[in-house]
Amino acid sequence: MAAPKKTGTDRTALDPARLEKLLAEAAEFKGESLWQDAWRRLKRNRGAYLSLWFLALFGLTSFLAPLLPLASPSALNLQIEPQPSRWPWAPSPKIDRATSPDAEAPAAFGEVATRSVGSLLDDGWQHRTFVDFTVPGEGPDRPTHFEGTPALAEIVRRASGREPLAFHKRSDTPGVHVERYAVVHRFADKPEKEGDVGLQDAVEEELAAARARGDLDTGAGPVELAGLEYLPGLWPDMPFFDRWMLGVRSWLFGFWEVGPLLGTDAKGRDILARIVWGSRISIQVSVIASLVSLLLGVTYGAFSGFLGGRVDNLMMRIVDVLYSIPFIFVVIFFITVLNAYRTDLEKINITRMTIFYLVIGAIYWLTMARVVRGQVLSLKNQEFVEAARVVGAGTARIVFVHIVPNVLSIVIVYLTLTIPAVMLFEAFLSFLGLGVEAPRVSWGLLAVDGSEAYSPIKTYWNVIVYPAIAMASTLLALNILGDGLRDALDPKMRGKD
Amino acid sequence: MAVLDVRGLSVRFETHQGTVEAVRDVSFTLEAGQTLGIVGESGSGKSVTSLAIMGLVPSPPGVVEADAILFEGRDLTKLERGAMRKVRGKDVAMIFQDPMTSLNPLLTVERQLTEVLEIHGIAKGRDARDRCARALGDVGIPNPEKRLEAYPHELSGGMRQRVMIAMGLLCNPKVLIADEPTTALDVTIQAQILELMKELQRKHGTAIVLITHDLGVVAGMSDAVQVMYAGRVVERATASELFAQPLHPYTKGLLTSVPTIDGDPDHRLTSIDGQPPDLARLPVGCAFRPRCAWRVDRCEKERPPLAAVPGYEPRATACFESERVARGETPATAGGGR
Amino acid sequence: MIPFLVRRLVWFVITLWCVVTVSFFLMRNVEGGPFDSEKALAPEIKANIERRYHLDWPQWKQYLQYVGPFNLDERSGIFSKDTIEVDDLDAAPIEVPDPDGEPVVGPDGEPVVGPDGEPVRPTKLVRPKKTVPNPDRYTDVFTGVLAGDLGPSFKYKDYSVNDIIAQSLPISISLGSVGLFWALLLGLGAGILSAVWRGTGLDLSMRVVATMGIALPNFVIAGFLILSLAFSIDWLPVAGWGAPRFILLPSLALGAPFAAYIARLARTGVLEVLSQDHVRTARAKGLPEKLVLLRHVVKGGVLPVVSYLGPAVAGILTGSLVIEKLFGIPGTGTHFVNSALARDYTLAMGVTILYTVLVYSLNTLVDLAYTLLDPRIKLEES
Repeated sequence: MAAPKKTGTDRTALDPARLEKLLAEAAEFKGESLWQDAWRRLKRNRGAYLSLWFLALFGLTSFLAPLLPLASPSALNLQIEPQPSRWPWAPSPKIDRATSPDAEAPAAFGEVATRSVGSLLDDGWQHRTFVDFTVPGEGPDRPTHFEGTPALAEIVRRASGREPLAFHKRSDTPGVHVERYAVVHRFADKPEKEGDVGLQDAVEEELAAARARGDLDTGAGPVELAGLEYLPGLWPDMPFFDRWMLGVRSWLFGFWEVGPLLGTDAKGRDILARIVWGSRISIQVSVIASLVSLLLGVTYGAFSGFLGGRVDNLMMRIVDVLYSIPFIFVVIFFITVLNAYRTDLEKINITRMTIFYLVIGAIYWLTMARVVRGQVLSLKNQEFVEAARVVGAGTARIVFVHIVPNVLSIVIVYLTLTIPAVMLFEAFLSFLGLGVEAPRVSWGLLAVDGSEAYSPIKTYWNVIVYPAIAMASTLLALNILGDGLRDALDPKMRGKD
Repeated sequence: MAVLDVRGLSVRFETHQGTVEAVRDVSFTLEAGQTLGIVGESGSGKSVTSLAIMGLVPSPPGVVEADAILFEGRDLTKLERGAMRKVRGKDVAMIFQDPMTSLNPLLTVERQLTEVLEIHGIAKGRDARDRCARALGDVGIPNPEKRLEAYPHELSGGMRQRVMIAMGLLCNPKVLIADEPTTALDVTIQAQILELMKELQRKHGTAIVLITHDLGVVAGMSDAVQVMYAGRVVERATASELFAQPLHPYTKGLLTSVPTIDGDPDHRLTSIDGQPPDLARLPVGCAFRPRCAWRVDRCEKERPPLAAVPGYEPRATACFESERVARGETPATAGGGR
Repeated sequence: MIPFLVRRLVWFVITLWCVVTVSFFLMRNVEGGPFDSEKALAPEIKANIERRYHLDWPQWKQYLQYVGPFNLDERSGIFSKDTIEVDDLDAAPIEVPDPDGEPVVGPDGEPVVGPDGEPVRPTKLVRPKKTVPNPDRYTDVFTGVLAGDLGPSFKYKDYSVNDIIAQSLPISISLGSVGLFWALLLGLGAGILSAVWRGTGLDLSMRVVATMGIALPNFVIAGFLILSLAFSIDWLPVAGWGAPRFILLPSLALGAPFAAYIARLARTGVLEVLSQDHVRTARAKGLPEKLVLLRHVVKGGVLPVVSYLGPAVAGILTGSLVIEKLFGIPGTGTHFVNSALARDYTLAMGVTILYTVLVYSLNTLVDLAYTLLDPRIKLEES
């Protein structure tokens, strides 16, 4: 340092001791990724952290709903009034849910009987196959439950692996009558294909075998297979994994189910079960619709931001214009119009739920597009991108390491804020009778039930309050988590507090 | 009699992370027409000192304690809120650091100026408007009548700072507290603004408390200088004495970190090693000890009080080793650091 | 300002055109119109109805008719002829072959063939036509959306969509504006108080209530309001319309979620302004706290609320669908829902168009108001 003449490099050079010290100082500052930092800050936000856990727990419960020994959310029992809460150990009031087999003429021959006999409760998850034989001899005037012809019962038993229930009735053809053997399937073993009568081949095989053995030679006349009928349960299109979980449930708990912990509604349906099962559809609708909006919004916004200039201007103007359309009116109009095409659409696998996702997603993408576009636009020209380019990072690295994480954080925040909005919208549409339809149940429908459950004479609190609490706490948690995430991921807040 | 006499001022902030001792035991006096410079790095408590005098420390979390803050003999700490309000803006005015954010963006300059006169019952309506236009003219704003109708965002940074100064001087205050009045401005504008303040001081005899981290500004403006570190005054002297011969290691460090026009271009600017202390966890002894090159064992257990330095009276420092610093001896411990 | 309005107008026309066009073609291509749900109509009656609603025209012509502004009807529209053919009631009926009749079958079971080789058909009696001057010529030149005519309702056969809207819109507007009033009053009040007394129990409880208000659907809120107010206060009706007291509960239920949101916006806005340097300046000037709040804080703090007013108005119109249905109020929202469910497409379309116009114009107004409040915003840039 003492030499009078120095070169430029010397002047800025550090002596080794000093350099070492600086490096030691630098090492003390632990580098933190954006996500670590955000997670740390989220944890410090007690409300948001609690909300996160609450939502995780709730989501798990909702996902595992088929495993839980809950009553059916959709099985009606019109003979009882709304019931108050009852603990599982409290004695159950005797409610005769079973209709006697030969009471009124059943809706379908044997249906009511199998409902009541097939399980303690028809929980809507059961499927029935009816196997009809024409048998010589006269039958009873009214369809009646009987013990069955042993040989025929054996055929059905062998074909289905289950104990059938037998009924008989008169036939239009003189000299013969019809014997119907009903098999109740639990959850998992419904036919693979829609419209398929799963037992057809097996029954025919067994019948041929019985004939060959001579089991059917009674001398009265030939026994013929009249036909098979398959009657799907209320939840015919339950996905595989849910059916599997229902199977596990019946293995674990059998037919035991916890009583109406939160009471029942006016149609005798268990409120707790409805809340838990309803959450599945509400979560499903809101998450999928939010993802649709995310996909649309991010693509649109990113394109707009990347392209920039005149294209960007035009694209954003279109968003502005769409913002000022009262979308809900247009959407309701769309839904009603599309309902007219419903049967056609269902043929190509577009159900009402699909329309729902698409339509809701189509509304909520606007904000997302704006936010993403703004973010991309500002990131594109930021110094750190330039800096990355200067140190030789390729385009891919710039996009994935520098731009995507920054956009991702804001996208996640908006996702958590879109989900509650979509849930509300689902409730809104369900209230107007344009949303989810029975026997399915969603929180919107529960809220509608609640809004119909008050009257000056008697108000059924449990019908109103419990679904409202479930809905409010979930939406609240989502809102708090969204706000918390926004604070945690805000780059301006990094390193503070 | 001193126009402003601050005795034993302490401010602390009760936060979730603990108590932050922002200002400890600060005292000074200020005569009419004089300028006191308060110097220190960010977080040294200089701005909080000024806010405490104005009674503007946000509470909670702020807690202000002082033996007395005497303004013309009246103790401001004992005043009721209403009475304090009458002093504020009228007798003691303040100019804030950032002219970009210190003016209300939604109101015209006129509204923001005239309300000072209206509140203190000095002038109303037409009269107030004329006074404001004159005040704007005084601080060198051309075409003041027209500027009155402007919104802050329509003015440049220098203009806005002039508006702030005009606002501060509108009631001819006895004391003007200027908190970093030139930091946000270009160097040329800085000089103009400082010149303007000096001129106005000469005209009205205003006492000025000038808070800055810019030693050059202090050198040009102040009569007396007070150096603050970690919430305490560490050195007090007249401006010329201080710059000629710093007696506190921190002051010395500050001065050597500033480039001088006649310095050797090859001479390395030294910085003060280490970081300012965490105000929530101050050490028992001298707060500057970890960064101090002259530290002795005594500093660790005992905090040096602000006391006159023998042979340099009435200059005062808060350091046991000031005499050695003054003599220019080499630091006791080599290397410094921790 | 003028270029701003012009640009807005251009985009408005484009928007409206899109809404009208898309919904028109969707509507006309739906199988099963509003008349299919009723019992099968005689072909003559059906033809008459189709003629009345111009459903026998080609679609492009129906579209032009719907958009307007010119009536394409040959009787009364812009292309109407000066004469029309009418049945001559004075002349004796004449016999003409009936082209729709089954061919006459002879005793041998074979169709009887006339001298020209064509099968002989039965005859029918018709009045001879005569040409008279068209009395309706040019009586109804302007029609369609551009002329402000939304066409006839398919369901309420004696009413046009305009009639129904004229009858119901005042109800919806009064409900909506009282709802908006509640939203602003409660929202701003709670938000500002909450911000000024932040950290107190009042602030906390207001925030909890506001978050609940945001999180719950408005019909649940309406339910709680009915439970807590209507059942305990005798003169507060639960449903219906007619006297001013009827508006109280539904408007409160309608405005509540927006009050909650506004409260949150106002709280954040005021807190944001309170932390700004210029508020400290105002205090340093010696302004009393009340004046600091009123003059320096509130205006800036409620700016976010002003920009939320546009979405809020749209939201209140939407919410009124539910609230009107719940409280049995015969407003436009009720008609819209009913028309959508009953496939009365003209009415549904009409309401959609009307609300698009309403929301768009109100949004423009809000933008204008914003520039008046915030001098930093220039219309040309927005």
